Amino acid sequence: MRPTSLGPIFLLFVCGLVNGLKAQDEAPALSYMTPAQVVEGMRRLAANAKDEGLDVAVVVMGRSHQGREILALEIQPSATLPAIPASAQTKGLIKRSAGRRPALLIVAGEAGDRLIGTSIAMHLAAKFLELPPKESLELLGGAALYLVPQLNPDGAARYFEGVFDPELELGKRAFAENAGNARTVDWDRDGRSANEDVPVDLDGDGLITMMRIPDPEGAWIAVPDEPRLTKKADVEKGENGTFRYFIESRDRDGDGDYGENPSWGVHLNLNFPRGFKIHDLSSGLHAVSEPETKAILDYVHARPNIAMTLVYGAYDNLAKIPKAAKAPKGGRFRRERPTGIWSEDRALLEVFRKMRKDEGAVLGKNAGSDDGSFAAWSYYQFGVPTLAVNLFEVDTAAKKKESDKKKAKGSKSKSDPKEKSKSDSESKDDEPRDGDADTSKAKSEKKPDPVKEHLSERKQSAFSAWRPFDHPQLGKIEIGGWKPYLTKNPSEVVAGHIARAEFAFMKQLFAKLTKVTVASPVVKQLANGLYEIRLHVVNEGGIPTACKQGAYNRIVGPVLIELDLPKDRLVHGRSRNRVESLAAKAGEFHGRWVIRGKSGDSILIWVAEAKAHPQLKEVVLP
Amino acid sequence: MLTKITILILLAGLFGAPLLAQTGRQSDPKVNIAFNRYYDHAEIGDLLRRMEKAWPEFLSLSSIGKSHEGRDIWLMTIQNKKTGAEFEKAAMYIDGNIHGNEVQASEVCIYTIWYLMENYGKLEEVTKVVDERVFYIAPSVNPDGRDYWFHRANTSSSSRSGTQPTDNDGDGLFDEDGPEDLDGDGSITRMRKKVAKGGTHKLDPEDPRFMIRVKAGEEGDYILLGSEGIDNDADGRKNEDGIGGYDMNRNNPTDWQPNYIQRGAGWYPFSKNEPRAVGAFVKAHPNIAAGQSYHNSGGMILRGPGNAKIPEYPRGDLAVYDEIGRKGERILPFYRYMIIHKDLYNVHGGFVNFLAEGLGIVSFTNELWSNPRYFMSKDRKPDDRKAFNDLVMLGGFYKNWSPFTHPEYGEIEIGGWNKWSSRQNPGFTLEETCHRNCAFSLLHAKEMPLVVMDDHKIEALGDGLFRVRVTLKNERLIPSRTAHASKYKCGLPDFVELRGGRVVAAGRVTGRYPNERIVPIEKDLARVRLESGIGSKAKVTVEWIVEGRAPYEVEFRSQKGGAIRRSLKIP
Repeated sequence: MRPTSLGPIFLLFVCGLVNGLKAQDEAPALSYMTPAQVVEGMRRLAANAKDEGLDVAVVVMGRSHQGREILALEIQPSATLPAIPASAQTKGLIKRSAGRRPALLIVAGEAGDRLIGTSIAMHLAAKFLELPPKESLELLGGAALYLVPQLNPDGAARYFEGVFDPELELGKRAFAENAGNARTVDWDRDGRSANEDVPVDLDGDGLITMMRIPDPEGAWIAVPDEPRLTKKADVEKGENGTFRYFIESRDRDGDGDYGENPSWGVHLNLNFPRGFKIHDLSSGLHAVSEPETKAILDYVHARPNIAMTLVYGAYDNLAKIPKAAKAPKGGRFRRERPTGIWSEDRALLEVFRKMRKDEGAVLGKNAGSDDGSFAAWSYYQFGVPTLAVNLFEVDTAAKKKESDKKKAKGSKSKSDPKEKSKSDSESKDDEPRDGDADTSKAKSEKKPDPVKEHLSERKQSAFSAWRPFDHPQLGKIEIGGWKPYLTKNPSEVVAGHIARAEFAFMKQLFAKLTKVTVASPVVKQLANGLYEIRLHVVNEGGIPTACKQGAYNRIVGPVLIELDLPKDRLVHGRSRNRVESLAAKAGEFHGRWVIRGKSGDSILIWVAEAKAHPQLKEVVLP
Repeated sequence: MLTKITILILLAGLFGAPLLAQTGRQSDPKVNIAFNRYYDHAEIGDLLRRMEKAWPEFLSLSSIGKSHEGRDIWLMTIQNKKTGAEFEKAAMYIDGNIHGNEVQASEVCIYTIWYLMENYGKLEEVTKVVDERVFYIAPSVNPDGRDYWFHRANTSSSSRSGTQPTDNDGDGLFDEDGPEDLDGDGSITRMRKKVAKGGTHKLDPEDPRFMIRVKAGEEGDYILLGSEGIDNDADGRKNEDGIGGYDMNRNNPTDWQPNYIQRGAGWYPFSKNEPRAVGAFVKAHPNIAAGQSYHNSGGMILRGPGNAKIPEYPRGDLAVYDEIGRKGERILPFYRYMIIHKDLYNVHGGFVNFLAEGLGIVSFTNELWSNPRYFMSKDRKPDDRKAFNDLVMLGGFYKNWSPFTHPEYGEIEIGGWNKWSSRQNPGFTLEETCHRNCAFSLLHAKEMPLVVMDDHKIEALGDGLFRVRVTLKNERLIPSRTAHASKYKCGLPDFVELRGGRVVAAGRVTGRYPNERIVPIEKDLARVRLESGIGSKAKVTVEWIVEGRAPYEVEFRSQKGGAIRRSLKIP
């Protein structure tokens, strides 16, 4: 086989940026873009944006290990926000949120082997900027859209450039799948020059897959019902190992291990501080050890107006919403970290899950834990509602026998070592992929689902069948296994289909961002020189002004309703009112003040929330 | 009789100078530094440059990064290049003053550099430690906080943070309401107001400088108004958002937790310049085998774990910590050897978490100065501080109350303990603190791993085969890899490699003659991996079966235990 067996890579080489390909259902095919094309594409989007009410800008967030730029694209209304009178500028909370617009942040490409997210994010940006300005402004509703399509450009570059393989013939490439960045990791901790024993493309098919070495002492067997798959022999069940199982490699450094020091780096989605796993080489030496991780944390730090994030990556919290955890212990001063999502915030995810379903967007796979990922940081430490979506993933686990399913429910399957992180997904093949049997089965009967069809097609085609090979050190072995990238990245045609639904989904998110409205104050004269003011504040957005975790972690900040009045004129009520959070849709605050004054006096009331520009109401006493 | 006296005089003449040195006195130091006073950042820079100039063969000064305000974070490297390469020697990292007000830490660091240099070639212990080890000493890793403490009005406890503007009260404004030195005495003291009615305090009849709270039902004639300052942002509170307001000893990555769990932690691990610079230096120097961080106050020799959620250190390491810690208690009277989370409080993201728990480096934090030193007694009396101020400091710690017209409170009085009065050593005690803590660090440095080749043997087995057996010995207390490091696989294992000939089998010798057992090595035979290194004062024996009679070369490499290269000749 030649490297051309990598469908998407081949397509890209041949067609470049394919935009004209039409799928059977008219969704344009979506191409996979090199890091340089992503950067260039973002710059072009900003440069070509029409100056009609929208500001489009590219922000350089930082640089990767190999010096590639990491960019954000920012789209927001160019209309200036109402000025704040000088008298109010010294008031902290008002000043703090001055100029803020609630923003939706979309992040993709954290894992270098998932290029689909980057393509989708680029598509969303391009499609959004294609809308007539009136429509895009209306969609935004005063909010902003920030996109970080490719957090890990070095990792993504492997998809196009292949991996370091010192045994390759000139002009050839070898492709291997890995999520990491470009940091050099001494995986076998032998202190030798790095990457001294990388996997190599022995059979010259351009792909680095796996080797099965016949050995009665080996710990691995072929899965009985699906012999192309490999699993650890379960001695308790009377299974005896029949082969050893390594990545395609030679023992280049003669240490008895095969391909143990590959050229892949730290996984960014393990490098963020929430749930960081210490003393694990894939996670990095410490949390935020990587330039890419630091870049996005600095970027978000400077943008506290980000009100919600959508992450395209390996983790998914909408396919299968995580269980709510018991509330952590927390007093005013000492607070414990929550072990999982709050039930209040879980309810919020249910709403978005339903939205995805209604838009026909992918509800794919829950690929295990969010520990150490940007998504986890965004929710637990930044404190905003965070939607995580895994757009495409072929189920590479062995089918479970009915009897096993009952027994082993919840227990971790021991299979291919590459599958470690996915072991708890255990999605069942015979079940519709959104996991909701009734509705989607009914739907799928009417209309074939191209993503689902593609997934089952890939389940066959993404596997390189085992073929005998004469290994220079190990003798007669077999080489085969899952082809790199194909289980995580759909064909460009199907990517186009996914993109359409994602755009429909994104369009609905802006309306969900917090939208605090302040009704006109009602003033009543109670007596000569004594007035009552009533004010009604309501959050009409689809998310709270601070989600439960955002209020608990004290980062998001309260809603402040402030009556600008000297102390001695306020008879009843507080001049400064802090509301921890106004709930989604219904969150209300009723203010009532009794004040001294005289007819014609003007009194200012400020309403400031953390994520949006403060609002001012003026009351003139009758 | 006369001859005996003559001989004594002669002996004294012959050995006088070394005897003086051995008692620790320097009659004529090469670099004169007063250790009864403090130095600000610029002065520290001058001292370090002077020392570097005086001892260029041992000292090299570098800046490992810049503080928020752009001050250099100085680090002095001490090494004898003639006795081996830097990365082939165990190194000790020492710093201080990460909390800006914990100033005496820097003088201890400077003293350590100075003492090592002044006594090199004079005291055998010092000469050995300089020849065998490398020192990395950063006297002030928070120079902004240090200078702010020296040059601006403060309390003994303020200016702990750096000076990066921070919104401490969550009102959206940065550093908008710090304290003011209203009476201009250089310290932030207290305010009180005499009132006709409703007073909560009265003058202490025994010492009218001090106030006592009145009993329930009793009417006092004073109210206390807290520390000196005004309500700059008119929010009804004063001094609630002063300069900075974070804790750089909570900004390290190991077990870092966000602000709502660990106050002062910062936005993410190493988000602050200063800890990031130190972290980058430590990461780039895997030869660091010992860590020491100086703080104030309380008289403590602290070790981790930093908090209760982290498992206790492995037993093998505890024996090491305990031995150094207990000796430290003797070197440092009135200091107690303590565990941070158990005996003090929980810390997330502390520097010691990073060194000890993240990297497996044996590390201590010393809290300098303690109140028993007021009267050199553990038997403390409630009025020790007052008595010390009056009798020993002759009033230098206390500002008597003086009237002041406050913009918000009207006629008030300002006075109380000044900024030198509690956490910092009084000048005359500083040199002793410097020396004893230096001695403690030198003990720690001495106990870093030092691996030597204890024995080797080559034996012909016939058929052209030879048995080469090498025994390596760690002469010191700290293992070449701590139990923590080998348990969690921090850093690289040690390696011992045989070159020359073809290695056909290798094994690690365990047990003792005659019950010797040899555990065969499975792979990478010529280069034997020692994941747990060489233990505390322990030996490791490795043997190879080699085909080919040749001069062999053995190389031992340890990140923290040094390196040995030796040719082995067939006898």
